Amino acid sequence: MGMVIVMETANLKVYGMSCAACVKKVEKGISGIPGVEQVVVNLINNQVAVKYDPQKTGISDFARVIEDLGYEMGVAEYKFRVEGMSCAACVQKVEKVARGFAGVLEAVVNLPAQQLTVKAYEGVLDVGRLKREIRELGYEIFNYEEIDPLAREKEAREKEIRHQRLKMIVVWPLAILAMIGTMRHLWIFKYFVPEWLGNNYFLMAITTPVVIYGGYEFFVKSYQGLRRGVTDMNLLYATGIGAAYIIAVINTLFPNAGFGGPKATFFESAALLTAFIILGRYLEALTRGRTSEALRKLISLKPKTARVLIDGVEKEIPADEVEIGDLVVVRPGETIPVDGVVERGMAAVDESMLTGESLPVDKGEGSMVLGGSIIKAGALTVKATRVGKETSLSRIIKLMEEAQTTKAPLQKLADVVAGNFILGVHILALVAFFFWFFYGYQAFFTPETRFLMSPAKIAEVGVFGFSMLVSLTVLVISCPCAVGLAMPSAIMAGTGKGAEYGVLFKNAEVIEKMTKVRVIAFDKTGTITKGAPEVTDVIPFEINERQLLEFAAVAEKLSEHPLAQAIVKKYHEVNNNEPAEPATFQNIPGKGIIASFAGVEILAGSEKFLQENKVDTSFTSDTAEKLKAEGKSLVYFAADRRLVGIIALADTVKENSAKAIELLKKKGYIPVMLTGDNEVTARAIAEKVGISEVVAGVLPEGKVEAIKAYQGKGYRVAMAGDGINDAPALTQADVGIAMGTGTDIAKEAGEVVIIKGDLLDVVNSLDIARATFGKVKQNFFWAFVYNTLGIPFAAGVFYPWTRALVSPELAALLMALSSVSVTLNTLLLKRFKPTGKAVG
Amino acid sequence: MTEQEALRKSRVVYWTLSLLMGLFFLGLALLTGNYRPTELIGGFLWVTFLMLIITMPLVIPYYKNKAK
Repeated sequence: MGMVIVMETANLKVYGMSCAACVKKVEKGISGIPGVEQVVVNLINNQVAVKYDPQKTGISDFARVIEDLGYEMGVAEYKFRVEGMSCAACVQKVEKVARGFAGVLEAVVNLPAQQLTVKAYEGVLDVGRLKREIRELGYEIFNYEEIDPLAREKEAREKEIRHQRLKMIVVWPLAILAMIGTMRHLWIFKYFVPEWLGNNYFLMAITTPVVIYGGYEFFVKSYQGLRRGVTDMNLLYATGIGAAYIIAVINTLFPNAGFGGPKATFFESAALLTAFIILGRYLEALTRGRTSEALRKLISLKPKTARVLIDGVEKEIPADEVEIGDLVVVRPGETIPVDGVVERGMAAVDESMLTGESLPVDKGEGSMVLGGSIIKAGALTVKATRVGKETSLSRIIKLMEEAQTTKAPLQKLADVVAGNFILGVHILALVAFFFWFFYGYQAFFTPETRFLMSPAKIAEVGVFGFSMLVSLTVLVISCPCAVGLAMPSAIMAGTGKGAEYGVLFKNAEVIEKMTKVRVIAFDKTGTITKGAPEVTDVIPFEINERQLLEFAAVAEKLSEHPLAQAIVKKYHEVNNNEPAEPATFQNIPGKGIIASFAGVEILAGSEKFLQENKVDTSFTSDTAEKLKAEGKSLVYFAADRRLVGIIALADTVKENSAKAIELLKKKGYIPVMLTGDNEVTARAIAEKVGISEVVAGVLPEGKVEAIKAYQGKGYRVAMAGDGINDAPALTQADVGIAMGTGTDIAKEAGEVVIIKGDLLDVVNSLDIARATFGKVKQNFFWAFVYNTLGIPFAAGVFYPWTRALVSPELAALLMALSSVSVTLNTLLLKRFKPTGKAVG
Repeated sequence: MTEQEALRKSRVVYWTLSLLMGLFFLGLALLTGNYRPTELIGGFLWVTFLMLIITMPLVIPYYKNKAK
């Protein structure tokens, strides 16, 4: 029998990636390591997810390759207070344990300060396990100070912005000077531009720092990549800038070398090319972070500390150290640190970031509260039920992070295109060079040749210089930089928009799939309906309604049956007191109750149960039939064997279900109800909400079969459900939509989670998916349009007629525009409002 | 084959292919036109350089995969 290989996944933070080709480069570089099964890179949040065999490789191998490729591994610093260390041996022990963790670079203990400082690759260290292991050694360990991941991300982005801004400050003035100097002999420039500015040696002197300082990283990164057999956009820049600069230097130092002479120096090309690329990088760094705002807002909801009641005294401890069962005190304006049940107090709680519900929700004793929600008014003492990584907020954050690291099929295609594009572009540049060198120049060149959108002539360039220029411009204009941003930025904005409305998309693929859905199947109980019975009719005989309700509540008070609890709940709604306790109480499972109160024997249960106990129910048959036809359940009550009333109960439809179905039908979707309930009840509910296609009385396998039947007809099917019994259908459907109010198993099986369980949010999720995917397509258009249109111009296809060429700097400007267009287009998604919310 | 051997082998292959292409350019230029020596040298260098960029990402992963 073969050994079972347990694969592990590491989520690394990698900084310095700027385009689709960087993504490809990192993916290719890490995939080359033996033992790596899968690599997924997300450019926007700088995350690299690696699935690997820990027996064969590890995080240090990934870090080595990433750093070899010229990127920076994110490093985080954690500080802990360790109590109980007394000597150098303790220090060694603690340090050794910490260093043994994957991804740890350094672990140092400061004994007098009782402080352990651990430096590890960002996102890799399992802090909880580290603490446990150190506690197992016999020491106490607390979070001393953990640098906020949000602050770190912000800092990294600001560092990149500062870096690019500094480069802009140095490069742009020099590049503009180089441009003015080169154009000195043109038009009216000669009247006010001093002669020395047009001197080739002066131009060389000002262009050299631009190329070396501004272009340094392009040269280094492309060399680092090429050495490992991978290419990226930096290579295109480096080739373009380097070749233009070298030709200009040769023509300055050796004017008779035959490359076009002193009037064919393209210093301004090299300088402006560098300047435009840096401008593109700067604008990208400025706008890129804005698309992940929703996730950052969610992370910022996580409180750092919690006030826990220990022996009746409030003590402030780190929020991730709260344990299940702890009593947490939360005051007005504070964020609830854990999920839990309200033990004491009343408060209006803002859950908008978690559920999309805009109005504060009232919470009192026994109410469930979610970690991350904010107390607007009042105060609560909450008993923790879910802590640390298990809280709803942590799970939402994790789901969103995972969704943003996944790739939709279209993205995978785009990555392949972008990755191979660079190779194709170099081949094209080679072909263009051969064509213009051996044929084109002799056949078409005239001294009147100009650059597009420029009065500068390139008359003295010579055959080599001309062919080289065309070849260079092809390289620069083809750069598909924006392709890498097109999908991740839209997915990030879309998942953020979803979270705003209480919709969680678990991966990028589901967003693409949702746009193709036509049939939407709904489970009935808990999805269309509230999933809990409510009293709908109180029909008394011989006594009045109020008396019947009181009578029923006394009988049912001690029963745990859902129908009994619904009757007691109704009593509470009508009366503000507790029903009296029965003197005797006997529960007959599956039939009913026999109780006594104030000397009266009470029977409560089904009609059959009462008939078995000699109670005459015959005169109620018409009423009963009518109520049953409406899908209601009936409970009969008798006092001393005389029928005194019937209470009808039904699972009621959620407030927005009918509106949601109406909207879906208007949008052309086909709503279908799948339920295990009987045909009569199912039809009654379906009619109320406006669904005409009903599959009733089916087991979980039956729901799967029904979905398969629709899929067989060629429809893409989404299934919305909440129960354990819906899990197979959620998996079978093309898109599984789980109600956040339902079971964990359903939420696990679904790819989309509707946090509030409101059907209007199903409409929202479909709208958001469509809008997001629409943005993706538009972004791809913007990413490719400049390149696709520009390549024929750059390659000189139209030159025989126009006698004009695209200059390398114009090519660089178009390339920068492409990235900026994509980012701005994505930002427009922020203004999108789904229709479900508008109605709600 | 170790990763180092794979890299060595691939280096020989991509340099050979690139130089061959450069020589092809030179041969073609000498046969078809009356070009100046600097244009021939410049063209040879540019063609060899572009060929290096084209062949390196193809040849290196090929040999690395073989080593895997």
